[in-house]
Amino acid sequence: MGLNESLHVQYINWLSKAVTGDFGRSFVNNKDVLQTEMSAFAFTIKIILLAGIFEAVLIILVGSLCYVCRNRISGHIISALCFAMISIPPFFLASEYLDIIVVKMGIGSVVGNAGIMRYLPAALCFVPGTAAFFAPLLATNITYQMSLDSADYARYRGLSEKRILFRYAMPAALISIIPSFFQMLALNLAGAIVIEQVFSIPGLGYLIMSGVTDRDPPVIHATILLLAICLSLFNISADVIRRIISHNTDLSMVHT
Amino acid sequence: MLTIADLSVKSRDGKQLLSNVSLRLDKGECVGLTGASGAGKTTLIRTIMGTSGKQLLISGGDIQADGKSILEASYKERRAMCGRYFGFIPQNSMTSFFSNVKIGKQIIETYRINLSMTAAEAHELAAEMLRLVNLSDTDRVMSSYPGQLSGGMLQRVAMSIVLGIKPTYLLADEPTSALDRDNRALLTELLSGYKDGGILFISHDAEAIVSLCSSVCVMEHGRIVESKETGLLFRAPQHPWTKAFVNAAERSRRENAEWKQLR
Amino acid sequence: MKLSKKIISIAIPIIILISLSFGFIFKPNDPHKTHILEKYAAASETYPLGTDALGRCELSRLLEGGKATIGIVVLGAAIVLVLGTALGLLFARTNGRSGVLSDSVLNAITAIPPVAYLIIMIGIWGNSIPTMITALTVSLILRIIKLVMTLAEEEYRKAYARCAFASGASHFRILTVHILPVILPEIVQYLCLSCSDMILAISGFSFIGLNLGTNVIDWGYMLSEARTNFDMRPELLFFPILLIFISSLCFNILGRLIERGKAKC
Repeated sequence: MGLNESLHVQYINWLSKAVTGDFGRSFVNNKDVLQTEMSAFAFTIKIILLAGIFEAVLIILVGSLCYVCRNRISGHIISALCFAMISIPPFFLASEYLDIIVVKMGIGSVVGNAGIMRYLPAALCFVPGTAAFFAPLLATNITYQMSLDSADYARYRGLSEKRILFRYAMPAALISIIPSFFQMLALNLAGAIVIEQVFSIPGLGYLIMSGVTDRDPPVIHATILLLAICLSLFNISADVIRRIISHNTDLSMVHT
Repeated sequence: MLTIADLSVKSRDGKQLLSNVSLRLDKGECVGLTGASGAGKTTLIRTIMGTSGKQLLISGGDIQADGKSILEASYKERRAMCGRYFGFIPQNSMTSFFSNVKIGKQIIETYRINLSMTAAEAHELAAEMLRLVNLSDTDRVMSSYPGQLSGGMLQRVAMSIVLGIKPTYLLADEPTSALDRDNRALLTELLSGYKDGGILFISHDAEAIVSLCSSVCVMEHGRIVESKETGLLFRAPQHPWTKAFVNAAERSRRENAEWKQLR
Repeated sequence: MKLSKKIISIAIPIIILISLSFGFIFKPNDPHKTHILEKYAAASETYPLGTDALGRCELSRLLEGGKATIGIVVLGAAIVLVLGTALGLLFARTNGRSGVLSDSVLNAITAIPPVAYLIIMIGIWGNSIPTMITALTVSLILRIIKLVMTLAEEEYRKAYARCAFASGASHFRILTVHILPVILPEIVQYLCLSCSDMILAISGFSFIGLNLGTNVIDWGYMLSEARTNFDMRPELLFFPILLIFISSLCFNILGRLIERGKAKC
């Protein structure tokens, strides 16, 4: 296996093989690591994307609610709840879901769910925290957009409040939070490692855990590499979106 | 007739913005409103438009339009008045349009809402009105984003929108501030030919005020300190600010005349 | 009146955090000592919050857990604050030139969320207190360096810095005396929000079994123990999660207060 070689030689060997997709075989079960990684990755990415969809919907709903109620007591209550919600760890929601809803009330099952139900509870654990973080942010952005000169002039031109909100203020406010939303998805990916463990979903987190406990370096190395690639992909997409947006606004800032 | 009687307005944190402002505007008439920055001119217009909700609290007085008090109208009714009944030309034309939507789309949208037109009719009207304000390359203007046009061009776009809608009362907040000499003359001419309604003309431009307005109100610290027929005001100004304003206008007029002679 | 209100609103979260991290000094019993006969004891004078599945004093364990959880986070944040700010000021380019290469390298490294660093380092060395502090410091310090550099360069371009320079102040003096006080709130705010995230992350890792070491108690570990005996004493689950929530919330509140103070300036 070349374990007698010096460290950097081993590293170069590993890297040159990794580039071609050869991560070796697991020390524990002698399975091909790449194959294990790919099936685990499929689980994790499904959770993240599912969570992302629910988060986006909830952010828009709660954000609009925060904006509509901004001057009422209910609005203050909602934003205080959101603020508190950020401090509730997703893994706690996950374990509470399993202990109370599944075990005590007998709804759903711990393992062996088929189809979307396998990922849905895990994905939903991320949703409250992320939505609670972004919804007040969206509301603040909408409030800002609605207070601009352009919104005032639109009112004076006879446009209805609803029209200004949905046609102009909401899209502008949403666009401004998209880059940080994608970064949040990358954070969810890292957080998924804990959640998968709670739900016993054989995703990337599960692989890292078993790799650490079983002292299985090929699996650990491959998983970390895959994780890093995913994170940078999310970050690059956040960057690309930010560039596109700023390019468009730059365009509209140019004076001719 | 638009009548403002003893109007007092406070801000939400209790600051007195306007006190006992009275003003009369007949249809077909143009009343000038001038005064230092921060005197309350824009606040007066915002109060008349009535869209700022609870930010402006009316602590006294009344605004009557054609004999009916508009302060008693509901917020919804006030909003419905904006556009068709009260037209507006903004002061900062650079920031007044939505930066991510093309100018043409914003004009057409305004016409369709206020005049219940089809898109094609609105497009035609928009082009016609843009030509009227000396923006003859209408296709280019309409397919530009606001940031791609100069402040003066945007101010003329705002003017063209109002001319298309023909509101009963036109509230113009320094409509000539970003314009060059020729276009200022054009705009003054267009406004003086506007006979579909009354114009409340806020300006620091003495020349425009003289050629447009039948009477002028001077504001300071939220009060109207002088209100007279235009000729009288420029002949015998009473208030210190008015005196300075008239003197400055006179000096500038003389300088302009000298400049013309030199050329 | 207003000032005292401000001081109180800042003092309350700080006092809570300090008492949670130094509370172990006042622990009534040995948190490790088991009393098999007294398992799941109700609250009493000896055991103010009762005992857990092995008859260990719950209150003492909670206080001891605070030492580990908040201690790691605060220690890491303090190292980052001092080192990161110093390095950031050192690397801040005051000559107006920009290094594309160093910028993109720094951008690439800081783009990875801190939690990912924790995972990678735990993956390599296994979880322990030194690993955790190292991972936390490494992941945050690069972000702080970047933040300080950006802020300092921005301030340096402003008129007051140039005036100070024109009146003979040295670069060092401008950076430390004039710019540092201006940018410090933003740095502390960022660290507060990071601390809040880190508490959740550290608890999460020990909750799933990557505990900080054989004899180290922390809230995440207590949570996972309580969960196995969920049916017997659900309130054992409640205490640690409440403390995790409160301490994370306190850091969030501090961050929010600093942000508001900044907005008023």
